[in-house]
This record gives sequence, structure tokens and C-alpha cells, in this order.
Amino acid sequence: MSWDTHVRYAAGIVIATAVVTAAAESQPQASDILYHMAEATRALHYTGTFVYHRGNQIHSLKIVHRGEVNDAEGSGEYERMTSLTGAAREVIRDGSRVVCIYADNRSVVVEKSPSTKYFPLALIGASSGIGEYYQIEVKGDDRVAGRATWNVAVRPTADDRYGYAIWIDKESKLPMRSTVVDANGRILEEIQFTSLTTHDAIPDAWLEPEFGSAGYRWFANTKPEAEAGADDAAGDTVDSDWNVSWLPAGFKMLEDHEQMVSASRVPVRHWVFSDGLAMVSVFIEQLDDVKKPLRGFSTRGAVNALGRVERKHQITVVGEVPLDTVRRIAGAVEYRDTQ
Amino acid sequence: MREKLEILSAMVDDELDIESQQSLTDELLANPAMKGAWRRYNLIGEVLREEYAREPRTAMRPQPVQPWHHVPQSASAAKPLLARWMPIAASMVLTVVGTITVTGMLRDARPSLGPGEIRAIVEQLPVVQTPTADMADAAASDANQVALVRYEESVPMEHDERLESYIVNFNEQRVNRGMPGVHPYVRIVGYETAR
Repeated sequence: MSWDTHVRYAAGIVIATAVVTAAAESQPQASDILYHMAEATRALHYTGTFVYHRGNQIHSLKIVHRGEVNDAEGSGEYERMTSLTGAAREVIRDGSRVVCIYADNRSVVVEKSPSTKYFPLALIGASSGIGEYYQIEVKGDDRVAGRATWNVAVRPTADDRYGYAIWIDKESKLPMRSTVVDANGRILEEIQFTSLTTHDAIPDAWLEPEFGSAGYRWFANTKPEAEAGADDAAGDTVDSDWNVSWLPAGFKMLEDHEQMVSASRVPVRHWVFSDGLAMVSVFIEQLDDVKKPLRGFSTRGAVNALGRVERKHQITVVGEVPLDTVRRIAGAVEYRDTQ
Repeated sequence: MREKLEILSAMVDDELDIESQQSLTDELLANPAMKGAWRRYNLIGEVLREEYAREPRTAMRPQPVQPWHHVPQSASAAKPLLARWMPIAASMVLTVVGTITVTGMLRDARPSLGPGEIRAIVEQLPVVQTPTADMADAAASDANQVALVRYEESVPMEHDERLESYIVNFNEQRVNRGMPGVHPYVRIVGYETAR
């Protein structure tokens, strides 16, 4: 082998190494991709049609999203999601409230949106602690609905919470496909866009409800918070002696407040727990003789809810965690009489 | 009915998916005939497990192939076996039902107790068909039994405006604080109530 050939081989190896290194460096970090996705889902104006698959049910849905505007008026997100198949249902969010139209049950539920907004995944990073409970990595590149995507996997390290796989459009950073999986990798639900278009603006008309609601039963949370305070004085408030004696590892309380809800006339104590990705709400409400208690469970894709009654209080746990985790949390809600 | 019983049998064998289990649990609670069949299947399962535990080697031994009209020995032996086990089996049914009731594990109820443990429980426990509020409250207050929920909490809830309002309020927190890229409202808009 001549000296010339040696030089050529060496040069080839150097170039190949440089290309591989450059390729590796060009693949962004999973946490960066998720961060930009969260930003895009909040800020962009887009419309699209997607398929929602859970269990043996497949539904087609339509979404119109007007992104948050950071101008002087500072308008929040507006969104309308409508079912195209199955039961006629629609949810409209306008930044301050959310309207759910259940045409199949001829009812409408109106709730207030929390005034404080939080940026999800803000805690992702070396110091967040999320890495202790999830493994997050870019699995590679893929294509969804004709678009080039990154496939990011979020795997839980314990079976008391779920994992996720998300395919994110490289151009818009919007999620094109997402799945929620259990600890064994079994898909619990899946969302996949079949069409997605970004816009410069979303006209008001696109956010108008599609389904009429005349003659429906309305459950609207229109009660001002001041009245909630009045109820406190009347003794309907939930006292602070309720505790939860068990939570999955890494879960911390993010919220503990009393609020009004549409289907109740008394304030409800609402606890919010999270490990940074998975979330669980606990609602505690004083029961009266008229109100029918909630007893049992409900599974909505990856969300499980469980209701039970203790000391004439309705305890309801709702979480995007396995039913067994919801059960354990519900069983751990207890009253400690400090008198 | 035969088809339902086959599905029920599949549930006893843990061969149903979670959706079908929930649906069947609904029917099970509403249909006394199916409820009786459920108890019988569990009883048969328990008796077989008990018998297998007593004679594991013979049960595993290959059997000679018999003509189709031949009445197997096990069938003729079944009567004395059942007669022998009937008192305990009856208690076991009540215990199994009571255990299921108290622990709220009807959906995936496959008793994991060993034969000796079952007999010990039968001897110690009073006959309980439905838990009393005192029992459940006392159990719930035990910090070591945080997983305990009552029977009714294992029953699927029907559409209820209060539950919907809780889920909407959960979603409103979830939108801003949970895993992005998974829109929580698909679980309301894409939820099919009709089964």
C-alpha cells in the first residue's frame, strides 16, 4: 500500500468521524424539543383534524387553536375542539372559561380557567428531578402525515405512572402524534393528526360553537369567588384537617385551594399533585342530603377517576396515572381530627 | 345468555381487556343470574385449585386418550368431592364475595389466597355479604391499608355533571402543568358514553 493510499484512508476516516460527530450534534436534546413543542402548542395559530384512539374506540376530531398573544391586550389562548364522529361533543376554551357541550346528554358544563398560567416542562433539566422518574430520549426521526418529525420517548421508571411517545413536527414544533403508554409499553390512547395547518390569524367565526345548546341543562360556574367566601362563613367550607398519607414517589403538592365548581353550590377543596409530568387532582366536597354521592370509578383513556365518601364528604381523585395509583391516593385521603 | 357466560368465564380466567371487564362488571351487578354464575365460576376455580394443591403430581401426569363416549373418572368422582367440600366451599363463596366486596377488587377478582389461608379465614371471619360503613371506615382509617377501597368504588360511574366538572377542572390544571403534546380534552370530546 502506497503512502498516497494511506493518506486517502486517513482522510476518509477523519471526514467520516466529522460527519458522524456533526450528525450527532445536530440532533437536539429531547428536553429542548419538548420545551419548544410546549411553546408552539401555546403560541401558534393552527387548525387540524386528528384521530383519537382508545381501547376499541376510534374518533375523528377537529381542532381550531388561536395562540396566546403577548401584546398590550395580552389575549389568552382560544380553542375549539369538536367531535366529527360518535357522540356530538364540543369544548370551547377562551382563556378565562371553558364550555363543554354534551349534545349526547343534552347538557352544558361551564367552568372557569385558572387565572395563573404555568409553563409546562419549565422544570425539565438536570436539577428538576424528573430524570429520577422518567427516561427521556430522542428515539429518532420519523414521518407523520407527510411531515418530518422527531420521535421523543418518555419512559417511567415505575409502574405507578404512565409514559409517553410523541412525534414532533420539525418545522412547526407541533405534536403530530402522541401516545400514552403504561409501564409495559402498552398503548392506552393515541392521538394522530391527519391534517394540520398553521395560520397567521384565526377569525372569531372559527371559534363559534358548532352545536346548538337550546333546551340543554346548564351547569355553569358563574359564582364569584367572594360568594365562596360567604359560604365559608356559613360553614360549608371544607376544613383543613384533611390530609393525604401516601403519594407516588416524586409527587409534590402544587395547589391547595378552595374553588367553586359548576355542579356544586358549596366550595370544593382542590389539591393538585404532580411529579413534573403526571398530574393528579383531589377534590373534597361537603355532602348534603340532596346531593347524590359519587361512588365508583371512571376511565377515560389515560385518565382515571375514583369517588368515595367519608365523613359526609365527597372525595374524588382524578389523575393521568394508572387506576391503581388513583385508588391508592383515594384510600390515603384521610381526616385527622386535631381538636 | 350462553355467550355472556362464556365472556364471564373469560373474565374469571383474566382473559378480558379492561374495557370489556368494566362493561361486564356493569351487567354483572345488574343481573342476578350472571351474579350467581360468577359465584359458581369462582367456587369451581377455588375447588379446582384446592384439589390441584392436594394432588399436583397426578394432575400433571399424562392421561391415556379415551374414546369420546367414555365417561371420565373425574366426573364420577366429582360428586363425592363436591359433597366433601360443599360446607367449606359455601363458606368460601361468601368469603370470596366478602373479600371482593371489602377490597373493591371485583374487576380482577382472582383470589390469591392459598387453601390453608382460605380455611383459616373461613374459621375466623363472620359471614359478611356486604360491608358495613363502620367496617369500611375503620379499615380506611388504618394507615397501613391505604389501598383499601370499598366495593362500590370498583363500580364504573355513570355520566354525572359533578364528575364532569371535576374532570374539566383537572383538565384546566393539566393543560398548563402536565405533559404537553397530549391534549386532555380529547377525553371529553372523544368519549363515547353509549356502550
